[in-house]
Amino acid sequence: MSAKMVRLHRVGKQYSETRYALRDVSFDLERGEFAYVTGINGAGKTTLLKLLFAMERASSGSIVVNSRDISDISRSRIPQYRREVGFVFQDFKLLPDLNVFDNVALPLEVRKMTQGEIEHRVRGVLSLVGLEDRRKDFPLTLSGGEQQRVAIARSIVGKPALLLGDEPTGNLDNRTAREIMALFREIHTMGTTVLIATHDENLMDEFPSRVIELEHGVMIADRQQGWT
Amino acid sequence: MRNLRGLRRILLDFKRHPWLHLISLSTISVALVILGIFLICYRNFERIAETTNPNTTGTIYLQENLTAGQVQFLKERILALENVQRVTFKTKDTVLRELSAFLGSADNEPITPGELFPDVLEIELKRDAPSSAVTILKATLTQYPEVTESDFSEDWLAQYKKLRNLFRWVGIILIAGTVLGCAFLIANFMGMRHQQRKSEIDIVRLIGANQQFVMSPFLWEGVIEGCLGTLSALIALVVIRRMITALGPTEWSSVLGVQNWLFLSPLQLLFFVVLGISMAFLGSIGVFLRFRENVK
Repeated sequence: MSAKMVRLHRVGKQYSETRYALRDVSFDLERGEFAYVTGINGAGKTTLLKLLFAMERASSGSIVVNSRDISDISRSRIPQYRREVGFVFQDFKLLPDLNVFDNVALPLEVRKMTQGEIEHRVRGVLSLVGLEDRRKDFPLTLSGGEQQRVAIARSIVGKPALLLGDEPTGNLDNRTAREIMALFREIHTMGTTVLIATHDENLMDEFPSRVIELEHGVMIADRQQGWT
Repeated sequence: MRNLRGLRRILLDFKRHPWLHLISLSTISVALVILGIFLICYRNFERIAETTNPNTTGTIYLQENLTAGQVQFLKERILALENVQRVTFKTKDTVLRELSAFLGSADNEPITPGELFPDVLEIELKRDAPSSAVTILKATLTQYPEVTESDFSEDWLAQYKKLRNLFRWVGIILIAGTVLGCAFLIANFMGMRHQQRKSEIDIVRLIGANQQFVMSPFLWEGVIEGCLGTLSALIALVVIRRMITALGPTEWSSVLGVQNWLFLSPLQLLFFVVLGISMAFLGSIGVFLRFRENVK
């Protein structure tokens, strides 16, 4: 198995003849690495994550994730692929009619796990995100930070090889955002490769790591935060 | 346990969108009640037709003064012809008695048999005899010197066959129309629910659900709606039949020879249940096909 978790080679995404979202973006992510993708609005951060999560297809270049080429992955294989990758959204994307436990359990139900396994795993991740005592509560009764914790728990409950976050702290206050980022770092220390899209410089300063910077769809920097 | 979770999700949707489910269910019920009434009428029509003997019958008028031996010989020859089921000899006196009884004219001025009726042979064709059999038979009978004239009930039979065919076609069109119409309506109602649940479906897709996982609640909802719709339609039909039996004029019964209206036969019942579930299932498939693109 390759040491690289993610390999992007000259990846481009073009929506029309004149409209590019990404141009010739190339970088690698090592297994177990933690990195940020940053840039102003419209820089292409979300598009990049969508390509990595097979929500969109690259117009050019190649994308290899966990030794699997997803550049032209067939539609029937996408569900299986998504079970290997966790995704945390800015707007949480929780199901309001399901309680915390059931929301977190959903990826395991999709995998057709037994009830015992589901219980065990969900309890474990809820404990990790500090929400074990809220397992029966519904999302709308939770604060933004708690909802994002549930979303993180749901994204890691399937033990993904790669965890993606698209502005996961974008809807949260500073203190809660720091707590959430600390949670991502904790998940990273457990061996998961993490790639977070954010434009929050303060957070990147507080939790320094590798930063891939995009501007108008072009990668303009690949640096270690705190270095010059 | 896993299935129970799936069932719980379905029941949750019934709770969330009770009106949409109720409309779908009512659509199935109403369609099935219309169809059920037709099937009950058809079944009872068939029974009436059975009791009124739909076989082609005819009367062969004989020459005067035939001997018993000549009549017997003629009977045997006619019985030997193709498509003939039965031949009965009736004297002019018998014919007159039957006519008087039919007209209720026993007290009227007596009719002299010799003035009106000759002796006759009553002939009954086999049930599966083709309509061309009457023409052939009539042509054959004109060649027999003992026969003066023959008269068959082909007009009545033709009318009966036309009516029966009409019933069948109406039935087929009604069933096809009901199935397609209901499936279309149900697909639309389910489509509305699908739209309402689009964000939920998108989320489930994002966590790695395949088409089967996404769509199975819709298919199961369809089956549940189909079962409930069929059950309520059956209850409604039982009530309707009881009302018809209780309120229907007894004269009809005696005229038609029907004492009570039959309900659906076991085969019809089976068809009814399968149809009810199929309609809902087809509706679900409609949603599936309509939103297939979204589920990729």
